[in-house]
Amino acid sequence: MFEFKKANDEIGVISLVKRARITGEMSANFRKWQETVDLKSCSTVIVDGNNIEFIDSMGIAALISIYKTVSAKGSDLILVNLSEEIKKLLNTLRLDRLFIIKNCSVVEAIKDLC
Amino acid sequence: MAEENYSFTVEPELYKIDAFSAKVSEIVRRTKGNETGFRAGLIVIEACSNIVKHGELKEDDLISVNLEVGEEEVTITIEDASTEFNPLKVDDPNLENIELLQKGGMGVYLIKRFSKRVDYRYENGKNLLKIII
Repeated sequence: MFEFKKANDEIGVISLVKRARITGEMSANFRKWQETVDLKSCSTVIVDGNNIEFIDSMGIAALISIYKTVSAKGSDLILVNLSEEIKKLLNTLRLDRLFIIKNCSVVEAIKDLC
Repeated sequence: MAEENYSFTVEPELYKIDAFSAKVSEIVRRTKGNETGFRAGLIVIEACSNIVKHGELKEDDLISVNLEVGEEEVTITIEDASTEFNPLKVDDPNLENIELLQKGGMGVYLIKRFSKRVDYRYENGKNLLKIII
């Protein structure tokens, strides 16, 4: 369900292989899965929201877990391709202070970092 | 636009609540647009998940949900027979502290922030939560 790839050896990209809702058990699986990938060696981690259909508070807690892993090494977490509704949800919780939320594609975000 | 009225019951399982939330989102989205549809789905999943996580429901207890899609407002009424729990008495989470935020309190906060009004009462052994979007 989740995919992790590296771009330019140091930028990690997390995406969903198909459109899904990050809620309940899926959130728990997402949290477990992120512990199995090498986020710590990334200078930046990008989460591609293209396939995130919906997210609830449990899904947001999973994103916070990724943020904690990434920020512990001084790296940034960038979220791209999010729907307007999900962006509003994250802003309501003031998580736009922690996550860098960009209105662009993964390719454009990587290009901006290089 | 005439008012649409729907009554549902949902089993207290997180995966069933997720599917139900998607259904409510879709019903509301059809006449009210993406944003209100998203809000309705979010409120349903947060309120019903709270009942499952904290309510000590028996296996055969069902959560009843009434959905009214009116011209001006969408009203969601959620009824359950679990232990008395008034979500309006839950303190808002400290948004400055992500450790605490991650542990809980986000759900009730989101229900309050994404609705126009929330009313709660405990009556005849049932929690009744009415949310107006």
